[in-house]
Amino acid sequence: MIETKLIHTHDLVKTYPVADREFVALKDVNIDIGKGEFVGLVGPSGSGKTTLLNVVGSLDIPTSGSVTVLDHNIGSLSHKQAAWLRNQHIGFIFQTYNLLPVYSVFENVEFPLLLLGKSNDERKKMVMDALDWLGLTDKAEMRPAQLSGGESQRVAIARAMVKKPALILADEPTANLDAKNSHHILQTMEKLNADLDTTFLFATHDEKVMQYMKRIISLEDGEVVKDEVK
Amino acid sequence: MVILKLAYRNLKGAGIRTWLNVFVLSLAFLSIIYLKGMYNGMQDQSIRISEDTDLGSGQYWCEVYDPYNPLSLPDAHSIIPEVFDPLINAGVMTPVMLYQGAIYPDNRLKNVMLRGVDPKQSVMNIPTSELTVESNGFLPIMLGHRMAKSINATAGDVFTLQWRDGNGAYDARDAQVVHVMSTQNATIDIGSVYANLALLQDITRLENEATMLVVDKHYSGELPESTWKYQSLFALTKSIREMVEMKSAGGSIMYGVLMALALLAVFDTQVLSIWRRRQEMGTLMALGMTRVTLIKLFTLEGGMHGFFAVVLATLYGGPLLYLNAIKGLSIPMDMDNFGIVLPQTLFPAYSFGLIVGTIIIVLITVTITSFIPVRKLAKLKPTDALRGKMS
Repeated sequence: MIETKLIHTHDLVKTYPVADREFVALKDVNIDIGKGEFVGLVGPSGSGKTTLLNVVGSLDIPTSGSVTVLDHNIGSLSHKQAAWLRNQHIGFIFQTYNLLPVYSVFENVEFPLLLLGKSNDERKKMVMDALDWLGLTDKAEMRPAQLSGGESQRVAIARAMVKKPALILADEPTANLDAKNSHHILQTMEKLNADLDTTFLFATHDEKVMQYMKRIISLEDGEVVKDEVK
Repeated sequence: MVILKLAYRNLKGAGIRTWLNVFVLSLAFLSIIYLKGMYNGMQDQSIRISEDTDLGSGQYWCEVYDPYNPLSLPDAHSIIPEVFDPLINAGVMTPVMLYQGAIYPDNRLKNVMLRGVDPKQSVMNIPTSELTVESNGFLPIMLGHRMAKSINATAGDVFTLQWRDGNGAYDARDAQVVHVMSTQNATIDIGSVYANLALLQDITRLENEATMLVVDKHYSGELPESTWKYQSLFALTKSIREMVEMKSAGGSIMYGVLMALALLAVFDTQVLSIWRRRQEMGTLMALGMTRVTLIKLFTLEGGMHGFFAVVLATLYGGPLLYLNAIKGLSIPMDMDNFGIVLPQTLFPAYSFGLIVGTIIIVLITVTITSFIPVRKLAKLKPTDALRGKMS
């Protein structure tokens, strides 16, 4: 039984126009995810994992049905409100890391705090804490191009967690990493989940990732076909 | 403040691309100020030289005199109205007679304008006192250096001078060049022969007559009413201003082209930047940046090229322009033989208004140029941007 609902979807449908017809990416998705959960959305390519992650992350809006994240109805948020929600409460981790290339590691991690309007001293402390937590203190002045894949993804995690969000959405976070780095990254996120009670929602079809999940929601052709808690 | 910081980081991170644009823009910026400063300086100095050596603070012209009608010249003289006597006696006004004549250098005829001036006058800054020099019975005359060069004359040379007196009778005398003056004002030099006014009145039988009265540039008292027409300095320098405006308009085309090239580089950089950084934009939006802030950020990034150009231009151009303003630009002697007033050394005038005005123009145009390609971000979907697509 979920004590505090962080994410709630009700009959969520998302369609895209493709050529002269509508492609159904998500079909009547009903899920509830609570605070502190470590959830994996699994399924083959095109099953709707990333679409669901985008809608939950307020990067997209549902075609019909409703999605509530942290008591905010995603469908009714203005662009500015959606940006505020992401800024305040949601962290993103991408498959391709999406680090800002001209910024140093420190500046990349600092970025969300700049948008939050944190003071110079606060930013410095929070960034150094995050880098320390992820073992990146010695890489602070490096540029993304100077980092390995595993290091880059750890920077992306630091950037996602630095503001201590309620929810972190990770889209195929280990797809570009080797097995050793994948396990390292997942252990880091598991620790983060345990220490900070941050809710994680992964989109993945990687077996290595699945073994770390405490709950797995399986999607097929946009529909939830299985929802199991380990 | 945040986007300013981010824009600065992004620009700095873009490296050589940024600095090339900034350098080209700074060149355009400097060229505009340099050319404008040159034209302003040319206008200021031309007017000052004319005021100093020829026009004073204004002139009274006799009724017939019309400098744009050569046919009026033979009759362009009349008795100086008595109403001007107090000012002439006080030395704040001096009569000048313009009279047509001819000189015969090397056995050839050259038409000249005889300029009768009072040797004691101090209204016009020309060495008329040289006309009091004894010249062995010859008529003492003075030439400007351009005129002297054109007839191959030096001080001490004797030439035959011919004219028609007030009764229409031809007369001639040998005249000796007692002085060759150096003047920056070509209009009072080329084709002019200076003579003592009293002697000119005597040999032309036009006693107490003159063509014009020049008012001292420092005189600010009442000017009497007369049948002679008063011409203000502003009216007399109209042609100088028009000439400089015409040249300035020609110069505008050049710096317009320079500016267009620099703006094109900024525009191109913006388009390229938006194209290459689509995924970055999606990331920024995922991190919580609004579309409006994104537009502001990218516009500011482009606009900051202008700001950096101003800073860079100040760093390397400031000393250059300062040096130029102090040392001036030497004008070749032959450059002013076209009859326009040009100083031998042209000092550009970089006014505060010119510099601030140019800075504002550069910043505004660069910002507008930066904004144009960025407008399309208003429709950008974060999900498309993250996939590297442009909505």
